Amino acid sequence: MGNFWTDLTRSTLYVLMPLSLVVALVIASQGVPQTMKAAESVELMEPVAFDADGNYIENAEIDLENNIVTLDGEVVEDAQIVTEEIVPLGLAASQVAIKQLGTNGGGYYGVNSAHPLENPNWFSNLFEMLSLLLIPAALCFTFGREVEDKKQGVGCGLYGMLGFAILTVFIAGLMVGRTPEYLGKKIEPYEMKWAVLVCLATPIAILVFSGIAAIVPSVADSLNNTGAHGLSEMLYAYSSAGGNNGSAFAGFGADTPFLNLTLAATMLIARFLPITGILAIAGSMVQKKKLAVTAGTLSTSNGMFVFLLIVIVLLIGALSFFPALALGPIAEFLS
Amino acid sequence: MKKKSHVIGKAAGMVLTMTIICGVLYTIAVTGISQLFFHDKANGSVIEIDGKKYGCELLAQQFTGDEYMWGRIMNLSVFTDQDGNAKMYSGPSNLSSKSEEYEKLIDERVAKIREANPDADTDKIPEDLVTCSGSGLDPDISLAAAQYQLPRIAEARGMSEEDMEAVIDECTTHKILGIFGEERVNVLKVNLMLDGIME
Repeated sequence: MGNFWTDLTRSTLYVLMPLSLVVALVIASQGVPQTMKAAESVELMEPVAFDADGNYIENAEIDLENNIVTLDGEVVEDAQIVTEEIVPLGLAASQVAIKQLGTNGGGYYGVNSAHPLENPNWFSNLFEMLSLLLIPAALCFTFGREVEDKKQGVGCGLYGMLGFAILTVFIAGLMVGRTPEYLGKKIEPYEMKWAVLVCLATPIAILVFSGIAAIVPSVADSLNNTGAHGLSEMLYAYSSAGGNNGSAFAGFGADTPFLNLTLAATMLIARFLPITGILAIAGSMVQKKKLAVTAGTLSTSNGMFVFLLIVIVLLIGALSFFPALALGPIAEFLS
Repeated sequence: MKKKSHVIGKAAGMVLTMTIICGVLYTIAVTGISQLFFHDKANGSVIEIDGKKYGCELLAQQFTGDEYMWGRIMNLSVFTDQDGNAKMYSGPSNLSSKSEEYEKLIDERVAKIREANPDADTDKIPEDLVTCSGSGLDPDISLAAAQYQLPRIAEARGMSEEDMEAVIDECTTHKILGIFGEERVNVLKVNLMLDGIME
């Protein structure tokens, strides 16, 4: 199964680090800041005024010399005139590169690649999208090479997909009355139980916790919008936590004890249960004898299998929480 | 027990080594190369003329005067830095596009834009003039949105529409090879040129 220390060192130093270096330099050349200075102040061409509560005063008349702000002919008390804008800097490019390659969220300036300093132009945009997809897409080929069957690679990917592949083999095997096997190893009840857990852990964690959150009164205060949009905000928070992501539906105030705890639980269940399951399957399969490929073996590298795999992924993965996720935007569109 | 402590020591060593390589050496390398080869860009694309910092090329500023070109809608906020100086920043709105609050806001913005541009070429308002960008800080507007404001600015400044057109043209970025990017106008650059600060 490989040596943990060797794998960790090689994947970090030979793959992630050189890639990050290239991505960081390319985006820095387009305008993503990379400096030890935290921020820069620049002059505003038109000064702006804020009231005592920090709210922007629209249509304000600003008298800079006497420091007086008037609105519709009346002087605004305790108004504040601001003549400088902050330009957030920092070590952005090197962090954004890691964030993109690791398919993380949040970003250096809080709104991911929507921020002009994190994604200055069309080229950085194209490059950042490519760097997001680079490693997941490449891993398909890595897997194919590792199992010495190039066709295997095209169509499979992460550990989650392996769970689905095993499930597909099982269902397809049942349909034609063959012993299910994958990569020449028999798939037996032990592997199947773990495979089901791998596939269902994420949707169950997301849906169960979102369901609980929907009936907890305090959660309503965290929402930025009401109605369908609010439901999406909440579901997104759990999906993001469950899906190895770091972003939140903007405006959602997730910093409450209830949400922090349930989101953390979602994260743990949706991430470590599948990993445990796949490792358990791997451990058990390593010890099994490799069966000879016969006419009776169900091929896992032809078009038929790919089709079956896609159907199973759609059936189990997508249908399990897609309807709930789609509910918000569709209800919003129809209202 | 001996084996367990061995693993812990190995793990601690790994964390320390990786932290130094990825956290320190990598960051220093990227910073060093960026500062050397892309100095202006790596320091925030600040427009500096005669020692004065007039703005960041990539961040929008709020413009409300008739003699200036207006940009995207901003949600301005103010905060105080560690030296006690008040600074302006902006963010997105996060309002649902179906909420009543948002509908009201759009109606207000449309009314304001119409009133400010009575001589505009068309009754159809370019949508980027009444919507906020994803960051609340996008520095560009579409060419249509710039041309919509052209008569107002030219009149307020008493300049010809041809001269105004030339300024907009100077600050427009075109599509690359006809497909990459959008045709867009940098609002801050237009206004700096109009005020004669930038050549």
